[in-house]
Amino acid sequence: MVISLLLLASCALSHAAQPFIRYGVEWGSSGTLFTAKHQNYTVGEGYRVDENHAGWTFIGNAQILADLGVNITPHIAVAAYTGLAGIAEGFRVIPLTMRGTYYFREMDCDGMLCYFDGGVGFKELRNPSKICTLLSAGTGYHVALSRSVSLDFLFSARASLDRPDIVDPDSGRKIPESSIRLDQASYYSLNISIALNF
Amino acid sequence: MKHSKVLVLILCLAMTLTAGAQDYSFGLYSSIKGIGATFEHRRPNNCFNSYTATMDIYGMPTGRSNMPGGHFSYSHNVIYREYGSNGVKYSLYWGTGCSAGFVHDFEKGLFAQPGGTILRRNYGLMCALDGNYGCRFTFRESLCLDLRFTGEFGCHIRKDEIHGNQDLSCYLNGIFRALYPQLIISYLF
Repeated sequence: MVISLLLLASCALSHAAQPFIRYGVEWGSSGTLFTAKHQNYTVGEGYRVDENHAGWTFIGNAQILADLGVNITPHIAVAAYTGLAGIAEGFRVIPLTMRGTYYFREMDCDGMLCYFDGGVGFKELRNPSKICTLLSAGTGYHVALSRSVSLDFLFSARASLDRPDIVDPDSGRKIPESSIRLDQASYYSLNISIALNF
Repeated sequence: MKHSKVLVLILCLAMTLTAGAQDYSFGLYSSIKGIGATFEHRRPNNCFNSYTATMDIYGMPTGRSNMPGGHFSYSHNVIYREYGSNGVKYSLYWGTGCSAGFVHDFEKGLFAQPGGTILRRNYGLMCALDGNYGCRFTFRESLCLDLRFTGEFGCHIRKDEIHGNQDLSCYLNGIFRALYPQLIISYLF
């Protein structure tokens, strides 16, 4: 329903020059291939636990994003992205990122593009302080369907850096911050997505 | 002589395939219902037949299932209105057809609970009659975008997860997901 409204609105707003404001939707799938976790903490009984493991894996996920931004020059666009993205099993975030895209040919021509994206992912809506860091870089092919509508086929690599909650294995309760010396988790994934921009 | 007759026959067949320019299209199907591929064959009188094969992903986006089902549908569609604006051609169409698959049906709930609650009922065979309504945006000679809505009315047969007997019910997902948009990006050849 949202895509239909956007498509119809874009036809009403399109004019001869490339529009300054851009908006769109992006959807795709991701595969988390490598995870790493290092946690060092003291449990309730007083002994210290150090867990450090990393390894190859495969966790399939998906993402759906919406963006709003500006076309700064015929080759460069900057936009803010948000939506819903899966990072790992049972771990999904609401991302809020800024993306800078460079089109090797002008935006109203077909051609390759590359982009860099960085921001945060909110793990819980009720607690905005619980965030993870999202960084991605990608490339793709830009198809200019009309002056205002374009279709991008994208391929990117993403790193998600998190500080997950640690649960005491004996009591089942969350370990307090004062007992945690180190808490790092990272997830590295490859993503394929399609974006429709207006 | 025999070889030349075969060659002429092959050339005639090749000409029939190429004579109808852009009578066929192959597309990528994207929806929250599933992902897959679509093949369309344009017919006379502004009609086209559409064949769609998808992986049904009910429950997967919300973590309630980790295996997709399979879904296949056929529909005969009629373009009843076309108009153009700013280099874009809009075609409104409706159609009817049938579908079948091996899928999950509707179960209450949205996200998996903490602890990993998954869809309890088994997969089952589904067969249904369906109706489509859509709009095709043709941007170029060879590329178009379809926005389509499909409702399905049929039955779902599955093995009961507790007693092991066969359960037959109305396929509720076909009705509840009728307003989920489907986006099809097609290349015409």
